[in-house]
Amino acid sequence: MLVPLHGIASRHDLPLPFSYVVVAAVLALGVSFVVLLLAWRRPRFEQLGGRSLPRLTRLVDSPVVRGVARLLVLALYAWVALALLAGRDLLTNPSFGFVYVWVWVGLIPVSLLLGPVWRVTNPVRTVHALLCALARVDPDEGLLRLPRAVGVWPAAVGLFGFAWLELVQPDRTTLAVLRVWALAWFVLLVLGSIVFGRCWVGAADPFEVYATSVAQLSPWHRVGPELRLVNPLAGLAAWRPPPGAVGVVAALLGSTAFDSFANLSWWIQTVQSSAVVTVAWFSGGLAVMILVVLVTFSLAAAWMGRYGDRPARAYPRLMAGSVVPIVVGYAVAHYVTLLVAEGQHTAILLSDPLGRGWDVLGTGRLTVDNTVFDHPALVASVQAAAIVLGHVLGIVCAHEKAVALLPERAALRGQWPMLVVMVGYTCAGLVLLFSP
Amino acid sequence: MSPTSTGGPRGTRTAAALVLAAALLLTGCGGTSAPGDTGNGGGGASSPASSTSAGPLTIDITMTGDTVSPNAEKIDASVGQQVVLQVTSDTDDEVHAHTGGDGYELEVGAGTPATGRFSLDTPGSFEVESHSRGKVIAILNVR
Repeated sequence: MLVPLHGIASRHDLPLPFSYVVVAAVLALGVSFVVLLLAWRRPRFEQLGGRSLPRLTRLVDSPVVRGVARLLVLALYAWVALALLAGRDLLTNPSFGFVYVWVWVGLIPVSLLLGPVWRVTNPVRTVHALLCALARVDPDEGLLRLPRAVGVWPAAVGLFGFAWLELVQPDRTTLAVLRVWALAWFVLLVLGSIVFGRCWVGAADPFEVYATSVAQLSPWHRVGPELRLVNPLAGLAAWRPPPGAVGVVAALLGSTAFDSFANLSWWIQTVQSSAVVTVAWFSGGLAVMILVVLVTFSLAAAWMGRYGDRPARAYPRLMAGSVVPIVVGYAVAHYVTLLVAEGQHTAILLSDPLGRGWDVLGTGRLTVDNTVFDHPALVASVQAAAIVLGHVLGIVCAHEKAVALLPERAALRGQWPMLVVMVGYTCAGLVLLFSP
Repeated sequence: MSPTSTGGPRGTRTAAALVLAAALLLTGCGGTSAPGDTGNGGGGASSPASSTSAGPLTIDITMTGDTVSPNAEKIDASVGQQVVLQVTSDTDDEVHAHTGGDGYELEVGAGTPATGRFSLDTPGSFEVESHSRGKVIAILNVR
């Protein structure tokens, strides 16, 4: 199998047809102004509402269920670690598909459907808990206290690191490279949790923080100890993002946008004709794209400070949840065919981690169902619909937050820059998928 | 106590209607315009999607020093079409076409023109790359 220059897939989606771009952009724009002008003027989701689920709460909180789930996920990671450390350095090694597809893309559907399950079953937490049990120390206790202001900034940096690995790192589909990154991830998280206690994992694990942010859009929400089935928008609006959440959503949105941007003819031609090395171009492009999102979003949110009673710098963090649906929409549009095709491929490869012809899991003889590629119009519809739906949910959430945070008569004037910025993200995402 | 005491149900219905309208418009759009009608690439032989008659797509590739020509050109092609690569290079190199599955590989000796052909069996966007130079020669948009 030939190793592609970029990523692990040897096939990419066709450019989004222009008619789809136009219709989707018009819809996004139209809905935005309808929401701005006609939607509710007083917060609707101040109480979470929903249905309480006492039996489900008991089930998911039972130590047996949690223990089994954590051990199963730990076993899966151990199995992949076997392939990573002892497998063959070929694209048929399942560790590539596991990291770039199952973890990076798979965490979205898992978190949307099952809520914060990523956090509960995070193998780093399990390893840390086992170490603490052996040493008879409290896993919450560390040697130092992690300042509150640190929030999830370490994870934002980690997400930039992963995006750099996925999009820039030369030879990213070789074992030598992936081993270094995987070991760095694991060692930094485990050492950090020994120093700061297990709150470090929630602050620094890029995958857990990404998954936890996406899980805010799931229909499952905790109110006190009790699990509830809620309106996902109410759940998202109730979220109090930690410090650094703006960095997290900017890294996610910016890196996905850059992945599409790097496919523009103009960009590839410029980079390939230049005397400056590709890594420098790509690193710069990725950083600039993330900074553009960070700065535009922060400024639009800070504008609300003119009308509200908090300082301007408080608003970006309060509004960060509104970007989560846009991030999810971008990611779905970007990765849906990769998840379907390479996700299956990885499940097949996992049956033979060392490349010795084993079929341990019984999946080894299956073949990848590539039907999805025979329906480009369907794929294009899903992509455009994901972007528009993400945009609509984002706009509605931003509106809800604006009317909750600002006095009633000022809410409109306070939120229009946010609306403009979000329309910009959505139109940019569509144009990048059109990929001229 | 319901959280939707301030005229909320109407808002939910409005939002739901908007989402539904968006979905309908998008799928309606899919019905009326085939995704094949937006050819924006250069150089290629564009042809109707149901192409049994499309002739082969010939790409002349010249690689000198650190440069490749064409340089990351987007080319429209159709499912079932044959692609003929005519390659000259001043160093030993390999041209890879990532056409899904195992892909296609053409070895090129320094100064010796090489010709290779493969067929495009499924829709998608595929890269033709110089392996040693690590550069994208062409992107085939197959519809």
